[in-house]
Amino acid sequence: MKSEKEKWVNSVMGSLAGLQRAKPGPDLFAKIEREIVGQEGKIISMSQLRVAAAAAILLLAINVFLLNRYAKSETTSTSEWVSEVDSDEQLISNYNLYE
Amino acid sequence: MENHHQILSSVADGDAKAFRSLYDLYNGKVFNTAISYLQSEQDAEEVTQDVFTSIYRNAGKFKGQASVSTWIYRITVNASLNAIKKKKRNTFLSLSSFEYDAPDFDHPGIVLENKENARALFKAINALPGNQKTAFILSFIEDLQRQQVADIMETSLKAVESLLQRGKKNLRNILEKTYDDRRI
Repeated sequence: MKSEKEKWVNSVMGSLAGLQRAKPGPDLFAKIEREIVGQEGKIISMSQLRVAAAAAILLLAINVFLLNRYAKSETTSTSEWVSEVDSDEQLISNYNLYE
Repeated sequence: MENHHQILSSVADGDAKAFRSLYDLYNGKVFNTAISYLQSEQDAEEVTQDVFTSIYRNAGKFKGQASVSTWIYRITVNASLNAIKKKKRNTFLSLSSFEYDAPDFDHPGIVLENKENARALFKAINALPGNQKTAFILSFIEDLQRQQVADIMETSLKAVESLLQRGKKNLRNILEKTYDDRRI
């Protein structure tokens, strides 16, 4: 003979009999459509991406060019300074009394 | 089922009517699966929304190796499990007293006279380990054939049968304990 506990467990295990499928609310599809449209708005198109890439490359090229120019001008001023120093040394040596 | 492939391929081409048809065919299956995991209508609607936006975005990636139905169920199971994880994480972070236990859940499709017993059953299902829960929900709530359950879970038919056997045994143990606790 089945115990009360066993009977109860069996009836709980069988409680899905006749279960109907649950359905979402009627406005869910409209929500999904809105989400998709919202996401598409956030997506960057290929043409936009190309323009952005071209702008980045141009900016990089300008930076490289300017850095190059700056480096060249630095070299020139350094060599001028070195020659100035040389002439100063000569000048100092001219005052060396114990030579 | 060939028809479903065609609908999905039209969705991949951005056909809004095809997307509506796909939604009409699958919204009940997706929502019913999600509600069985999450045991909340609001959460199940959020998962259903995520699943259909994911289908819309990834329709072009569908290779046709599985059926459309299997593919959609797989997305739904993953989305539901992720939603549960997220909910548990948020609960842990907020340090609130709320536990993700979903007590007293009434499935909207339950026959009135079974409502109280089904409440106890859903609570017990919630306590099952992940794979056993998935096998049980897909087999006994979604009423899918065992082979399709195996395909969705990407496992063998034997493994599904074993999961169901262990799942049922665990459910009985949980329910027996519930019965004892109620009598104290």
